[in-house]
Order: sequence, then structure tokens, then C-alpha cells
Amino acid sequence: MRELEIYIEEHQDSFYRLAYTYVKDRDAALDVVQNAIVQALTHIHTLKDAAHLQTWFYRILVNEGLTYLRKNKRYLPLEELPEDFADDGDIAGRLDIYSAVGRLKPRLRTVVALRYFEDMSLQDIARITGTNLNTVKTRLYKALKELRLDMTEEAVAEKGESPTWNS
Amino acid sequence: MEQLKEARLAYTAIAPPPDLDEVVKDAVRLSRLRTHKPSHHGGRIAASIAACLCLAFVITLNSAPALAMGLYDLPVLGQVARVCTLWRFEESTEASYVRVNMPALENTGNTELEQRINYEIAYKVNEKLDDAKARAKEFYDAFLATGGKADEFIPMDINIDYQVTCNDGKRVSFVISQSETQASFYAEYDYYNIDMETGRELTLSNLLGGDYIEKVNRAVLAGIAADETANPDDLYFHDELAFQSIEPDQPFYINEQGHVVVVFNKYEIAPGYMGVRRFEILPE
Repeated sequence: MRELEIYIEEHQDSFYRLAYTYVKDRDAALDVVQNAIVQALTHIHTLKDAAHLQTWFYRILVNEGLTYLRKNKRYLPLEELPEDFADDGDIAGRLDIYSAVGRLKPRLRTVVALRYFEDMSLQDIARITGTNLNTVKTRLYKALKELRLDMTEEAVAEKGESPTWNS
Repeated sequence: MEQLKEARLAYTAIAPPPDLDEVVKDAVRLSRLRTHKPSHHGGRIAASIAACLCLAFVITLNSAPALAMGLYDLPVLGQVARVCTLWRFEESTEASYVRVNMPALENTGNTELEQRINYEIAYKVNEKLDDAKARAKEFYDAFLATGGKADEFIPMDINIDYQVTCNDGKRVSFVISQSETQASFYAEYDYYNIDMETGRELTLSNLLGGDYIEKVNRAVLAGIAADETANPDDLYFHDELAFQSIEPDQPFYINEQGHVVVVFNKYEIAPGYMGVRRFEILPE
């Protein structure tokens, strides 16, 4: 329990960013994070292996994000830019592709965000999304195709723990 | 790949709001307090009692490992009196988005008390819910009547929830909150303080003695002075609006330390921006 609380406190910013990527709204993102934490802490006994703490928690967080989107479909897509973007460099270019990621279907968005924003391995993403490695790869290809990014096999494939950035 | 790298920069530039910290802390606190949170809607009592017992077990395990070992020997988990989520309910219409966590008192060993309190809670919650929904519908109709488009209406967020502030086996204290958020936030709170040995609701006089009004007034005046000294932005009413005395039935709850905390509603003793004011009454 204490271990999980410490993990949560240390990673709360990441949780918020991921949640924000789903719901595009400050308060909704805070809600998603809060719900995920409550879910996790009240179900900690279902975590069998402490080594899987991170993937276990992200699974709950992703599910909360998806649940929120499902329930609030009717009045969600305001598609606003975050208010508090740090003002440095060519924001327009960055936001272009970032908001394109935001327009992907939630399932595809999950894979892209976890892989390229949160630096997770494909194996971990499979665990988080409750699918297998091939499904994750397929979704990643599909997402990148929708984003109209030219992808090479290597860019998607596992290379150590973090993704490669050479195109 | 360059573009994704750029997108990643945009992603890492999302600045978590300052209140994230508080939200996370709240969630941790809430998890410690929350005895039960069913994932299904409209769960029945029997199911929720079972789940509560499970969670009671988990909480005990975590707080006292030594005790937990001993628990295996016990045939029954014991009568742990608690406030439990009786049912959870979500409803989304064009006018409102409703979330309710309905609490109920359980395992007090006093059926009559439970029935009475739970009936009162159910009655009040339903009444408030109906009122709030009617208000939301009124807003919605007025919005349409004045030329607003239905799909541009932001449904009113109606949230009924509860929090247990103290449960030491002898007394249980909890607060039910009802909030409505649209352009502004409006909330109402109901406080329950129950003596589980006698089955009666506790009064300030029970807890603080016959001269409770003077005691509380002294503590409140000292609290106001302390707040105003500590923070120049904290401002209470002065002159004719100034705090003079609590009401005999001033709302209060019991906190984790077992101390009485008296509550003043927004606008009661201070300008609106100060919100709800609470003062802990320490033993003198």
C-alpha cells in the first residue's frame, strides 16, 4: 500500500499528461487521475507481483480514461489546446501532430502515447492494454499510418527500453 | 519520426495544474476512508455488505500486520460498524450529469438505528436529487427558450457523495455533500454524528458539556483571529455582520482525532470567497 502511494506521488505528473491526452480537459483529467488512484489503492490486493506495479497502474489509468471518454461522448470534443503549454519554440508544428494523436481512436491513441510519450516497451503496452505483442504492433502501425508518418520496421520494433528517434 | 519527437515535446509541455498535488493527496485520503466502491450500478445491499467486509479485512491487514495473522483464526470477521456505499448511480441526460454515492450505516448491531438513519439519508438524498434535476431541467428549458442550441448546452453536474470523518467503533461521523456545478459551484452538506452505543445522534452538548456554546464561541473567535493574523487574505465579517455566537444546532462533525469541528456555511461568517469555514474545538 505504502509502496503504491509513493509510486503514485512520484509519477503523478505523467499520469496527468496521459489522462489529459485522453480527455483534453483539465478538470476531467484531474478526475481521471483521481479515480484511477482510488481504484488502484482500493484494489491493491489484486496486484499479484509487485514488479508489475507500473503496468498494473497504467492499465487502471488507461481504463479510467477510456471509461471517461465513453461516458462523456456527448459533450466531449471541444478539442481545445491546453491552456498551460510552456511557450518555447515552434509550438504550432508540435501541436499539429500532438493534436493529430489526440484525434486518433482511443485504442490507437493509447498505444502511441504509451510508446512515444511515456517510453514504454511494447511488451509493457501489451500488458497494460490486455492484448498481445502483435496486436500492439498492428495498432501502432495503423496509428502511424493514420498520422501519415512514414514508418520503418525498426521505428516500431523494440530497441531496448526506449524508442528510437532516427527516421 | 521527427514529427513524433515534436509531438512528444508538446506532450511533455503539458503543465500539470497546481491542484494536481491536492487531487492526488485527496485520492489517497479518500482511498483510506472509502470502505466500498462497487463497480456496478445499483448494487443490492447484500452484495455491498459482503464487499464492505472484504475491504474491512484489507484495511485491517494493512494497518496491523500482526493482527492480520491472528485473523485467520477467527471464524467470522466480526461486527465492524461502518458507513458503506449502499448504491452508486450515474445518469446522463441532456440537462444534467448525475453521480450519486449513496451511503448507509451498517453493522452497528442496532437495527432500529440503522433503519432510521438510512431511511432519513435515502429520503434526503432523493429529495435533493429531484430538486437538483428539476433545476437543471429549468436551466436547460430556459437555455433553449432563449435561442440556445441543444447540443451547446453544458449539462449541470450534480454530485452527491459522502465522507466518513471519524469512526472509532463508538462513534461514527460522516458528511453527505451535494454539489451542483454549471457556471458556478454550489454545494450543501449534511452532517451525521452517531453514538453507536446508545443509537442516538450526538449533539454538541453531549460532546462538549452544558456550556458548549461559550466553549465553541471562544474557540471560534480565537480561530478567526488566528486565521486573520496568519494570512492577510483571510477576511471575516466585522462590525454588525461579525460572528457573535453559534446556533444551538450549529453543524459539526468529529474528525480523525476525535475532536469536534464546527462548520460555518459559505457567507455565514465571512465573504463568499472564504467558502465553508471549519474550526476544530480542542479540549480546553
